[in-house]
Amino acid sequence: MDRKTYCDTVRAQLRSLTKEERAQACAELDAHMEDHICSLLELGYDAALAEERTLALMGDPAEVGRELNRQYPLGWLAVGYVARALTLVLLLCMLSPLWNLGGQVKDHLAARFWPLREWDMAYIRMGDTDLPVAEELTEIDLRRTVDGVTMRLYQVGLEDPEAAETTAWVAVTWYSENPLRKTPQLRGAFSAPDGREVTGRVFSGQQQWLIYVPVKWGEVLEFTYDQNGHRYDFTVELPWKEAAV
Amino acid sequence: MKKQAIEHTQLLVLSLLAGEDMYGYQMILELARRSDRTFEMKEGTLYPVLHGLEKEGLVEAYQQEAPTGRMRKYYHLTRKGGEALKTEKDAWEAYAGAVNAVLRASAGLDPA
Repeated sequence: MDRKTYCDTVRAQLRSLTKEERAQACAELDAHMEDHICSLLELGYDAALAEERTLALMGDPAEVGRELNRQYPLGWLAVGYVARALTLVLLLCMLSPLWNLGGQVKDHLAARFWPLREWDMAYIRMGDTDLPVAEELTEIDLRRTVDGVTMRLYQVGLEDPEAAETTAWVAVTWYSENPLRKTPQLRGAFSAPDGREVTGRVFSGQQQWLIYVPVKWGEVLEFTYDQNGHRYDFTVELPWKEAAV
Repeated sequence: MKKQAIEHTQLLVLSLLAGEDMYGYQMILELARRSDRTFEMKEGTLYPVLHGLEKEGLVEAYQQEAPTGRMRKYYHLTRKGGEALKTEKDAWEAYAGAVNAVLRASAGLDPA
């Protein structure tokens, strides 16, 4: 056994000590052995014999470790960890408004610049296997702003652009113009002037919708979003294809 | 007779520190010298005693650079430690005196 092995054996018993306390205790024992070895060297011992003699006088390292460990009741270590955990929780609670603000700004930027485009049509169907979905959506950019909240149409598509009657799909998002202002939660209050049904599916934190409306070939889609006095009117050109007429 | 509140090794360590601050190896040497090598403990076992005394507030530790440049951990007797030492020393002397009295009487040295 050498000094390092002695210290490692002691260290292995120090389960109730913090990492720092373990390091300090082992450093103290190592310094003691070094003092003793230096004394023996001064007396003319060779280095190997001085270390052997010192280690023999130190006693059983496992026993020394166990006795040292007993001086540090586990309860205090546990109290220390609990106190640190509570401090962390308190800190997180104090910071949570900032996180909410960060999430709000992130949602704003996403809605404004890179709203959801890769639609999972299987998810959109939500079990409704007869739902006619548009496999391809083309980019548009129509925006209306009311009381600082902008509604934006950014994709449009048709289930069958050559059919006489089919379903139109429009991707909708909205955001507050001020990124620090919370975007109000909009409801599915879509309607068409002629009373036909405008159905919406919500995605990505309630800020992106995919709405679908039955349409006839060549129609221009008109619909309105109206909730609590906030009214947005849209007229959308649909990507019809001539060949199907 | 009042029971000893601390163990004998603790009492010896407190006694060593009553005169001056010491580091571990120095205490081992001093203990051997003062007891004429009667008390030669396994040196590693000194540290659980020191750490226990430190936890109880009877001694406090500080780092100081040795002449060789190495940092050493010195122990200092606190006021609480000094009071404990006095109490335990009195208790020990009363105990030792009683034991001696019994031994002397048994050996016929003190017929009174």
